[in-house]
Amino acid sequence: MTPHLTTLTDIISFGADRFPDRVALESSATPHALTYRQLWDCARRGAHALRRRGLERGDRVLLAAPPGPDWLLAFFSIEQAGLVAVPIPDGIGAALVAAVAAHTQTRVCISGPEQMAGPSTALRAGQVSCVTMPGLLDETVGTLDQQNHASDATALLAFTSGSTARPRAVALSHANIIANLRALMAARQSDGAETMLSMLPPAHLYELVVGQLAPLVVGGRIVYAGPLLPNRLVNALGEHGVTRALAVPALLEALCREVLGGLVERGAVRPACQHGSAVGIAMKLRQLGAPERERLRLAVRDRIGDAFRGVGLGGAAIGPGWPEVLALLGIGMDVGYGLTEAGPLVSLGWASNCPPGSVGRPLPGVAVRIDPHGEILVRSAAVMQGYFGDAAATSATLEDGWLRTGDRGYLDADGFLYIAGRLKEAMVTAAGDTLHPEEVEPYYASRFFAEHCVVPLRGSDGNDVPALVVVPRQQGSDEDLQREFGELRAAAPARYRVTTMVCRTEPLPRTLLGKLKRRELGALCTQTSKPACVN
Amino acid sequence: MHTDIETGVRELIGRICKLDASSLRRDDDLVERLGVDSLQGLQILAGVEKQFDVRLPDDELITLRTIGKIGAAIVRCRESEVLSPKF
Repeated sequence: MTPHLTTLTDIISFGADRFPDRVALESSATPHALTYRQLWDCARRGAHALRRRGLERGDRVLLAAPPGPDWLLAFFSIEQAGLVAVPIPDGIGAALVAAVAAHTQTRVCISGPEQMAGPSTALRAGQVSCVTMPGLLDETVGTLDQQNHASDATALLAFTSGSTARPRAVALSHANIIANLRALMAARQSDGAETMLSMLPPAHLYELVVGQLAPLVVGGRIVYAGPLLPNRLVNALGEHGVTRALAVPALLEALCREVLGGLVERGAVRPACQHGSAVGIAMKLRQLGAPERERLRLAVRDRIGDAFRGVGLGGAAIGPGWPEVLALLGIGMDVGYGLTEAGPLVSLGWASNCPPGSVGRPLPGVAVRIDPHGEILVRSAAVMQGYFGDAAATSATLEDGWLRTGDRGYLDADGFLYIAGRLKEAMVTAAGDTLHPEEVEPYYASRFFAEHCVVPLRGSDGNDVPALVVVPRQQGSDEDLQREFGELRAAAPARYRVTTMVCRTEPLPRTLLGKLKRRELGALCTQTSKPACVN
Repeated sequence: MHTDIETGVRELIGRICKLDASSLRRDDDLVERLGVDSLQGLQILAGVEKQFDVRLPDDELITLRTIGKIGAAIVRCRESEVLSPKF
């Protein structure tokens, strides 16, 4: 049964009524656990303590606690008090935290004990007081029971990890997030009894809404993973009876390799199935006979547990081959598309029910259309209120109720959505061609490159010059690399022949959530580019 | 001292990062000098836990960035397990 929700704390007050003694939050590594009743009691006490500090409805509170039960408890305390949570991604550095505090005019930060030394120094300079969640609970024995805020009040300011623009604070109301939760429930027809392994930072809206709030709506349990060692994560799936987990592509790939490594150790597959590209691994697994494949799936289940239904993929698109590897191992996967401004989920689908390359169908109640330039537009009750303190950016992004996503895509005849690239990453060449890096990159995959991507360099005529940036593997000389580049180029369709290759020894720059910073890399390469390889 | 353990760690890092293991020095910083990214770092520590059958302490993970430090952590884990065996 899905409860009637007006504000976000209704999720836990409902849980405290329906299943008070059920565990809501627990840590994988430590005995720290909270039942629904304890979560609700502590959140009301935390709310009381925040109000006693003189904070008033609508005031912002920075949330910089490490991922874990206390993070979500702090979140609900802030919401119960009618305040606005400003989640700070873990480890973004003191200067940025101080800038966020100044931009959002925040006076209080709920942080973790080990972080006190870093951000707190910068925050104190801006008159922000830091407190840990246990410290906050020690400040009062009273509770704040009445909710005195409305559904359309701002619940949080989410800093986007956008790959093409400077981070902005996205204002989302209680109603926005509840609308997204309802749409998700309707699409998934969840039967409850979820146990979610939380691996991603909760400051990422996808993790917060889909990974943490959604399971709590149906009385589920969240297990916080702790350090992201692949062996521990895969073991935790079976040990805790986990049903779902959300992952970004790099993490999901590491988990797949961990599962494959275990299969090799058990003799279920040949060692060659553990290494190399996903496309190669999929090819080797496909060659197995039906009985071997069944044995393989049983061995996988033995490791990850029978309860595990699947993994939700977010943050970026997964590399070619991985969806098939997962399917061959018998591991289900949700594909989807979303962005912070959309609250966040726009489309969702079970990978095996979706055409290859699609990101599922738009959720119920979410309207998607494609404008004449190919940009995906979204309208729903979950779309943000706007960018905090930035009316110009808001009016440029929200037009007549439609959210401009900045992503290019299309819908097929069956209503499946496909993403074709970031609009702002489109490269316009001197020949007048519009190229998207994602169209070009698949032609330059090579065993000589640990990583590769295509970025726009700024040509002398102001146009974009598409360039291939590679991080070479150790083996192979410069001549090998140049020869490989020549051969790849020759094999690519004329439209996708890139003329310049830039080598670097550093990994490609990515956002905290793993998205490639192509524009930044392009600007860097433009400053330092020369015909030979540069680092 | 603990040469076998450090040799094992060196080979493991070589395998995961596709580097020539003999070129790795015991005090090379994996991130600064070798360009190991955070995910590879986690894979190395996962490999260490499996190969040496230890559980590295959570609060030390972030400091384990050289072969020498990883080797010393393995030795400490083994010593503490002798005092309080796993069940």
